[in-house]
Amino acid sequence: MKKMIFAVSTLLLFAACGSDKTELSIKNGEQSEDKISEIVWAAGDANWGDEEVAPNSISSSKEVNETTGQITCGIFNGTNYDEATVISESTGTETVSIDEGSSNVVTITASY
Amino acid sequence: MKRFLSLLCLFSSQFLFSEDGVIWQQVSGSWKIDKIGEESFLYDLRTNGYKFNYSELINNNSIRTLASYKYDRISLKLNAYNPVSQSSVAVFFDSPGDYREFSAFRFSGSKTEITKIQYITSRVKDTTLPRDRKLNFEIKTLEEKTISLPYSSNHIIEISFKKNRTVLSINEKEIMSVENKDRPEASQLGIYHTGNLLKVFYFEVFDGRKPVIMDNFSTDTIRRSTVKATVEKKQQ
Repeated sequence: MKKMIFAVSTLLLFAACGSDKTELSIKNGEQSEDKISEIVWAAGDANWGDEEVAPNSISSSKEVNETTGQITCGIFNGTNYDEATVISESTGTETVSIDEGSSNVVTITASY
Repeated sequence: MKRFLSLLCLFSSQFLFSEDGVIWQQVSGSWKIDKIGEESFLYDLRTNGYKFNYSELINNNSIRTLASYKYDRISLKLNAYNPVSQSSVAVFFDSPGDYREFSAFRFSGSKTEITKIQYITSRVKDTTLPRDRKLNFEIKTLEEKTISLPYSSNHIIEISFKKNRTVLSINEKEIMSVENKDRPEASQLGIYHTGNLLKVFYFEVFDGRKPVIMDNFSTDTIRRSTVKATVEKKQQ
């Protein structure tokens, strides 16, 4: 009986852990001037690579380990590709915070 | 007479060394300025670049002048430190606008010291392709030399352009002289690095005796591309 309770508890624990993953997807805001690509979260904790996100669209969701970090993305300035630093609107800094154990969507407004 | 001469010297030195307000463009990396004691410097927070493969500049951590200049000498003091297994620093020049077009002296090394200097060029492979095409650039090594330079030391790099030749000196010692026939009349220039951290204490550019850029990084004149972000939706 004890063994069975232990096994069920372990299973429940695993199930609870499974539902607590932190996910992140990036939305390119409807006010954005162009598509964004080459999105990197927290120094490579998640990397969307070639995936292009058109204005008013959302990227695929990725599981992340970090809950604070910088977001960079590639922007084409008409001549060359630059790496853009994403500034959090709420803090005015380069550090963006997301909620642990949640599915987060960060909206980027790319106007330059 | 003495007073007149000293006034004349003061006037001419101010004329010669007046800053032209260089603006730097951050291509990739996270470039900042700081000051320790009286010495200010430019540095990058990032060690490795992200391999986006649009150009060598975006693949490394790069910064370059926003404007083009006419120049025949570049002088800078830098310090590369905290290297990882493969580390490099490059001073690039003769870049007429397209990030994929430049010449450079690239210093590469292991985790313990800088072991190699290469004179490289980057060129567009196929000019008919759209400009946002990946891997449409080619890096060629035209000359190479082994060297032993320590990390975590200040090095004075000087690059002079003389009669179809480009000459590299390090700490006032000539290291390499290469043929460089077809220089653009005016061009952008800058630095990039990967696999290490980098500090640059000054960056000076001359056209003959005339200073073109005299930046000791006492003020932040870096233009950074930024986009705004809001955490819009959270689902428990």
